[in-house]
Amino acid sequence: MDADAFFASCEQAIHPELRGKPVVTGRERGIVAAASYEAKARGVKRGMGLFDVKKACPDVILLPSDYETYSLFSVRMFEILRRFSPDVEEYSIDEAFVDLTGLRRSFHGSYAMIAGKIQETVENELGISVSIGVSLSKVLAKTGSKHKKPHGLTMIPGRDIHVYLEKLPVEEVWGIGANTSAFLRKFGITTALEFARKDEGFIKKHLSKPYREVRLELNGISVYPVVPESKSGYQSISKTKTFTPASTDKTFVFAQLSKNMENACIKARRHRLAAARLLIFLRKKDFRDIGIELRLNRPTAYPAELFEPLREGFNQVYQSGIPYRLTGVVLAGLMPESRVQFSLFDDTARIEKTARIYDTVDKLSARFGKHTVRHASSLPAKLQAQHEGQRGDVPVRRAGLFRGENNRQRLGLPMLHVKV
Amino acid sequence: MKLKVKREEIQDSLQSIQGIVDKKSTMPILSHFLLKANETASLMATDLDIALKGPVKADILEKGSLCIPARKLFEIAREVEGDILLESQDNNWIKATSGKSTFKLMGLPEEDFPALPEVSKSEEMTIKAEILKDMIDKTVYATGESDTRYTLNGLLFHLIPQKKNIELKIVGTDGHRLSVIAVKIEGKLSEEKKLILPKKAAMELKKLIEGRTGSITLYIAKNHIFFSIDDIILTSRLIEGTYPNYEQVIPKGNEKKVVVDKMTFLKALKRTSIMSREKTNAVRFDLEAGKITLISMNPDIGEAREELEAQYKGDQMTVGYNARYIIDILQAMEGESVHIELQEPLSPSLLLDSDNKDYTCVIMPMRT
Repeated sequence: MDADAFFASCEQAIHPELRGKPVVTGRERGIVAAASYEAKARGVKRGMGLFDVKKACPDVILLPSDYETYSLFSVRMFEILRRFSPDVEEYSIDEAFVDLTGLRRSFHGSYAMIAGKIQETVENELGISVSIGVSLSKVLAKTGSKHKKPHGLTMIPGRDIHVYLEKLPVEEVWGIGANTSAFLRKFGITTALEFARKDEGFIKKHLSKPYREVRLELNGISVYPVVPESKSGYQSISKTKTFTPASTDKTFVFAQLSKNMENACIKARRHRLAAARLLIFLRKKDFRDIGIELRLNRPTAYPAELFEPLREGFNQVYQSGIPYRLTGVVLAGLMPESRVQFSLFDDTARIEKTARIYDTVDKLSARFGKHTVRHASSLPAKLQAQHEGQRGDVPVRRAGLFRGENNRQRLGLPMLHVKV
Repeated sequence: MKLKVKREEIQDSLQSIQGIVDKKSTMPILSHFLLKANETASLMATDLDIALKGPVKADILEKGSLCIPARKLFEIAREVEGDILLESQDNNWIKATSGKSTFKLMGLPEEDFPALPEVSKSEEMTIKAEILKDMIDKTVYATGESDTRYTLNGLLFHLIPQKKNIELKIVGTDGHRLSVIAVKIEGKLSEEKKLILPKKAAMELKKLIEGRTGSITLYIAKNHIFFSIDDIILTSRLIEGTYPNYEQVIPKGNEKKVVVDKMTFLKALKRTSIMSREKTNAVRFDLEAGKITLISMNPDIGEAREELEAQYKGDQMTVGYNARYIIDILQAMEGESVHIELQEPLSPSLLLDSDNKDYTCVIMPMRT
């Protein structure tokens, strides 16, 4: 299942007056994050600059992204899917795989009927439209979900696989990227069907295992199971933030970096993880990235211990006089905090003290909201708006609060803007 | 240049520099060695951090010098059967003849060879070759490989002036384990010195000393150290930076003392660690009066357990170690038994050799 223009659909769901109108989200980023089908019909595409959007579609409604509302819709959408089958894999914020195998009996109907019911329930309860593909494998189901949009329901039974793959360019198959498709084109393979029909020996000789699996999936042989667990283990945690206008103020840029690092650490501590490596990067106004990776003496998730390497790395990559528009931090080499080994030269008493401080900081945040206590180096990022001008608009969910809510703590409910 | 060398002689000399000449360097000169033929012949090789210079026995028929590809000449010396005649030709070509085989190699002019620091005679001391080798063996395994604490990637030579001689302490640590060995050596020293010798230089030095008896002389310059034995000189750049205060992490007054037979302990540990996680090598030690129980567990594979007798009178205690670290230490020790001194499950433990009170090893326990 794949939601149609998900972010824009959510906006239309909570603002009924926007239904049937060209809606675009992503105003704070300056580019289109999602465009409603009405906007798409006028030529608006994802990633388009907002200036071009207004040219193509002067009556467009530009909205800042309201990720809080989107994720609330997403959670509800997956809950609906779980009413139909316990095996639901949340693939992204607006996509999911549902294993329907063997459920025809309990629903007294065909797979098409079950899929139709899922679609109907989501659309009725949430007011957003979704497209569904039903087939023998995940790759084929995903292909089906994209086949007809919006509000599509595409069944790909085994006998009809060739019909759907015939016209599908090979690069649009899930798992086949631009490089592989360029490579395949050299052998005359341009469509998914040609790839699926190519003999096993060829694939084995020229491509790696994942492609052999994709080929089997395209032939209707399921290799990838639907994995219901939500993502738990992290390889790395990254936090990046854009700010406008681009800044040449070293203190401010570092504050942005510091804030990202604090946020990444909060997430790492929530999962009881510690990072062995710290990566930092800065994006210049001309969209060029520059970064550095630092190995840490001891894995940690405490900002106080990371400021020294952070500052050192920052000083190495930062060039004065150049405007920056984004900073990012990645905590990599994550391991459970309980497995971190102390070294002979560590001051264990001091580490324990630091641990107690952050434990208290986390408790305060749980009670009074995130960032109740923060490092002073991040302060300039708080004092100055993240985005100035039109981009500085607050997402709708945060602009209007229910009683008792504040900027940091809100109920897990979307706010519907309906006049009663 | 024209000289005749015995096959074994040139092969041995070239063998000793194989670790120093760089095969994949961006500077081609570093994969060459410099052969000099004056009254006597000598060869020289360097990777810019370490340099080795030594004599070669040869019949010099014509003086001269040239840089020769080290790997290729070594391979030639290994395969040919008789003496080798080396002759320089025009444009830095060198001809090597042995029996009926002739080789032509492209060399480089002497001027291209990097200038090496000259031995300065400021501080000088001597030590018996086998003692120095033993000291390296007992410490080098503990050195680290880290990019943040790069000073740990070398061996510390801590020189402390005494009334009549010098105390030399060699220290190796990677932050999780530490080994120190102390010895008195002859010489005079104006002030205390802490020199960090890169691990690679320590390994080359060990190779150089191996099988040699007699004394080795150390000369210390500002950024370099020179080791001289049998007319061979090994030069190394020293690692700059401050070595952490190693004396501070050697625990004093650990109250729980265990004595255990070394070989029994070593064998038991090798067996138990078969089942520990490969990455951590963790083995749990359960101490109780009169015995130690070694336990390893790997949820994916299984577990192992072994009991061994030990002199221990204290309370029951559980502590975890990286088995590899202890095995390294036990293999370096010579005494019949090993003394372990502990305090808390997560505070540094001390391992001492029953036969050598100057050898001290420290291990940081692991969380179990």
